[in-house]
Amino acid sequence: MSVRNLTLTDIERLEAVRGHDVAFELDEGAFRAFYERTARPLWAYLSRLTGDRAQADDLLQETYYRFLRAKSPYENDAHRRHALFRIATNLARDAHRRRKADPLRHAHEAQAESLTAVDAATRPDALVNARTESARVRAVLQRLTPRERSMLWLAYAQGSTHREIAEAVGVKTPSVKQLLFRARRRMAALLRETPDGGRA
Amino acid sequence: MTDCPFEGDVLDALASRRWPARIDEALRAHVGECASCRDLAETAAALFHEEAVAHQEAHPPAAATVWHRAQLRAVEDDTRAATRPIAFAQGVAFTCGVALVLTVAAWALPLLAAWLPDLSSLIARAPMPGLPDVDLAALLSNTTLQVALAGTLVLSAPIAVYFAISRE
Repeated sequence: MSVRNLTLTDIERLEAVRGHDVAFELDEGAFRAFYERTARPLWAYLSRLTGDRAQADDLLQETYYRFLRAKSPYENDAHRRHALFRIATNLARDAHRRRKADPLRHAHEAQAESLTAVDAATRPDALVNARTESARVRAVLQRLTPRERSMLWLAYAQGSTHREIAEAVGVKTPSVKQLLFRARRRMAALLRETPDGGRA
Repeated sequence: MTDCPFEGDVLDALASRRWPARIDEALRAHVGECASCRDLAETAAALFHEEAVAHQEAHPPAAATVWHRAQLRAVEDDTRAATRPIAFAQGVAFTCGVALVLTVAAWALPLLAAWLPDLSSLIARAPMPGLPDVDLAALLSNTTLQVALAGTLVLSAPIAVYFAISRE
């Protein structure tokens, strides 16, 4: 068993509950295979949705926990993957609401973002360009509403269908096309008006 | 909202990384004229790029870690759910206990009030050499003091019961 990222307390608690394994929707082997396929894209989605890496880490664990506890019958791997992103979307939306209710923490996160920018400024040129472009896109994403961010990411970074997007963000399927069109127009306008971070 | 038939071609070109260098001139010319396709191309290209960057940044914990944490959490949640009725019953029992103590106190308070002057006169008559000359009879017949004594008894009773039945 790999114990990377497990603390001593975790190990002690694992010992305490040994023999009391909980039945999940997947067995451990199937979960590992599924996790290897989905963890990175899910983390990418959560980090761009929240704009906060630490929060993405927390939400990743929470998403898989809720997914395993759901015990829903999934038809296939795509269905399972879609359910995972739907759970993540709901968790990120809840986290966003909590952040709005806690402006002090939000200020702390804004400070962390500025530290990232300083860090990028000290890197070699090629890396700085990639980082700067990424920072520009992240800045634009953060100016969109959480629903717009989710829809755009699911549509273009994940390649989700309109039906899957509708289920994930909680809107009717026929509305997705129009909402996506507006979100796209807004993001394109923001990209044009946001400076290119010294590359232009 | 426009529904441009070239949107699929633009997305295909982006997904197959042919955008923007290796696309045919007709599509390039169309994107130059069509605002919807231009928005799509700029947005999707930015998101494709950002997805690749985020994918490289991602260092999720090992699958085993996530699995075992989920197991731990499930056991804890199940335990919490199982003990919820017990906690509820304990709460009800405590409330009943407090209600009982208050009822008994309400019943006993007049008796105590009648008994205290008798006790105070008995104490006052008892010889206490060395103590200052205090009118204990008057002191113990004071209503405020009686209420304070009764309150102390009422408040300390549940605490005494807790310590009596507590395992530690």
